[in-house]
Amino acid sequence: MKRLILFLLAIFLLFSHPQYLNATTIPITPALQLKYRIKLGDVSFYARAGHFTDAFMRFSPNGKLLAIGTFLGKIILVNAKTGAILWEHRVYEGMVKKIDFSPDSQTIYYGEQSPDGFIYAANTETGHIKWRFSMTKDLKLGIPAPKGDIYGIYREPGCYRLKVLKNGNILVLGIHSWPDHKLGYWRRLSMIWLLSPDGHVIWKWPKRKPIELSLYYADADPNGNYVATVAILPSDKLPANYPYTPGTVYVLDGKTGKEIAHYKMKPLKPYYNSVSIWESVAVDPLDKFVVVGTSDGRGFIFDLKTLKPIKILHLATPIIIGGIPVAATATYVEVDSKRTIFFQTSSSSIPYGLPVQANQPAGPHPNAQTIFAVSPNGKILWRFHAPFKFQGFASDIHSRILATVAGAASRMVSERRTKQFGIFVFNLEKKGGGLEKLLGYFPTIAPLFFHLAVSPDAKLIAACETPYINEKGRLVGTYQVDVLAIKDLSKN
Amino acid sequence: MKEQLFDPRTKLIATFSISLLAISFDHPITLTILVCLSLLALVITKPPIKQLKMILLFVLLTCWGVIISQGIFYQAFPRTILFVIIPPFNIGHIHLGGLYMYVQGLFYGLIQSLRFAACLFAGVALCMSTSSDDLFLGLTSLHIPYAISFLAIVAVRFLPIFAEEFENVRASMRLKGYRPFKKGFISTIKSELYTVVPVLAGAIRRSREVADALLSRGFDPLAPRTRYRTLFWPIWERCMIFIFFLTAISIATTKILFWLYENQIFYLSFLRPLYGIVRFYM
Repeated sequence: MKRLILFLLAIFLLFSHPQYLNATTIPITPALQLKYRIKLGDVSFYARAGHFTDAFMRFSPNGKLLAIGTFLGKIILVNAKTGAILWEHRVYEGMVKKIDFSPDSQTIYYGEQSPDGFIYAANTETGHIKWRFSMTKDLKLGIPAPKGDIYGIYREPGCYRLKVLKNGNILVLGIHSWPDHKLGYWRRLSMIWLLSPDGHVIWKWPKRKPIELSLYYADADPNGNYVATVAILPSDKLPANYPYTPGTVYVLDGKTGKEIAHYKMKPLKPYYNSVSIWESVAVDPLDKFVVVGTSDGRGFIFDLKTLKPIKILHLATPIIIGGIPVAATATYVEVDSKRTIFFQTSSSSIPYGLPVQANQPAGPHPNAQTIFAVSPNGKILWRFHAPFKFQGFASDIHSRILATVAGAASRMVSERRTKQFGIFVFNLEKKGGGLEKLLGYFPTIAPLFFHLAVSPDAKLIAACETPYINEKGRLVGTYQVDVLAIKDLSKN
Repeated sequence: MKEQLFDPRTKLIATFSISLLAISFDHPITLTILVCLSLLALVITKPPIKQLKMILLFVLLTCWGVIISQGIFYQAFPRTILFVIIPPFNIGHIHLGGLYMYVQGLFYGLIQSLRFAACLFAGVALCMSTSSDDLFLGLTSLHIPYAISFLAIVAVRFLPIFAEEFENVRASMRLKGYRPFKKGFISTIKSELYTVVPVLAGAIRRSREVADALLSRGFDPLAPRTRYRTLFWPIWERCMIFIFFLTAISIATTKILFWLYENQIFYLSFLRPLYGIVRFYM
């Protein structure tokens, strides 16, 4: 008996040691080190229903603060270095969708998706709300989600882009997509606002009424001279001769909000009947070009003033494998401060809606799951390919590093077999191809959401893990933010 | 009747408040807390152990029945199959979809059972701890119209008589040789239904007798009355029940506000924290 107790005690002492626990739960990577984790709450209800919960992170321009907006409606401000929570607020009946800081890091702006669709401005020190702006004056009040409806929140007006410009003005994109029971069809209303630092509208586009299409994403150069956006899905009933069309890129004058040019992207026939995009619009910091990645696998580089294509890259457009067309979506784009364009392609798929007798590609597209670094004139500088589902980009203000995540698995159980999730970091100052630039890979137990953030000094990365249900029906992972420290870049 | 811990008015208001809360709550945790509260009220009345056991057994059996039946016959969507009771099968060309146990149905049944249990425990606690005279006094002191209070008390008083009558009918049936399921299922149901007729006839006869008695004595519900016995309602008890009642009313109002918001009838932006609390905790 005594021996048994001693044995159990020894086991307890050995395996309960923090170092041992760290060694077994935290991966050891040479260049990346887990600094701290912030738990974001219980989302098991949503995870069990197959939903990957959102989160948004942003570092303040001075690098001292990290803001986290959660699906559960929390806005959390933490000390970026220590991970200590400074304050947290809650937006009820909504989720925090987008966040940004004022250039002096004194004010935090955050946009919600809720019946009111508010944009808040809060003091970073106290959390005191300075003002709030409601998008529903233009986008109409949201309809409340029924109890237990996990997707109901997405039918409410939401902030889909919030970017603070160098002069302190705030670019806001709002979308409201919902079944309008009074009119009897699905409506999509979108609008772009430029707000002053005190919350007043400088201009809005369109000027009078919101556009009856989803403008899924928008971007502006840091000085706010130009704003680019792409219109995609329209309301189910559009009036005849409606001036705005789906699949069209619009460029606006950032000072007045007037339309400068537009370009209707032609569908890639015979594989696609329409053009669609995700969060893939980026504007050149020097106002020369705008980049758009489309779901048919193309990457467009347009002249910003005329919107004439400088280059159309066929990154992962359909190719025939085994008699079946296979493509990959150009999901995310980024233009860093050194004007390098980054494209990202998803995993291989058969173009949606094609009358083919297959539901899986016969083979992988050679350019699927690839990161492309492209010069402004369309020359591919380097690429990185790996069997991961890359999602989202983030880089620091001096373009020293580029981070991406291997993210959310498919809802299809069959596609979740590849449980390779984690954070990839590239050293952009290093010469060579993608593999040489790869600084490190930090594996995670759960998929990562496609919004991630890099601190201005390129020393910290924040990414959000979101739990999922594995093929055995077990909940895997935790809803949490992982903050990684990047070791000295000069040594890598 | 044992010495009463609380004034009948306190108990009446508490029972009403618990009923109100049982309707207002949807969340199993809050409903469980409410059930515990009303069970505590029942225990405080110190019922005989045998009776308490009977009540608990009755409630458990009812809850079990409600949960299982809702689990099997749940019609709303989404619904997740927990296990298959009867797999789908065909009879000739007719396809029968089988019988399943649904998770959401069990959950729905649990909520309904908790509601039922909360109200039942509170009601039993009230009845077991209060004489019908005190209950009547309590009702009239709360300015419930005399006629309604009188009707309620008569109904309560006649309940044991009905139970006794029902027992008599069954005893006579047994003496005549009736045994459940002895002559088959249909015959049992028919025989059971026969018990209702004499009990109902007795009830009608008795109600006429009561009505005649009241008329012959010149009963007038609107006539001014004096009371030989009055109730004393301590201040602390009044305050306590007022807070409880106010809480119940507030919760019910909150719930109504949420319902108005959910159905897009009435929405106030500043009530969002309240809507959030109702969504997740009520």
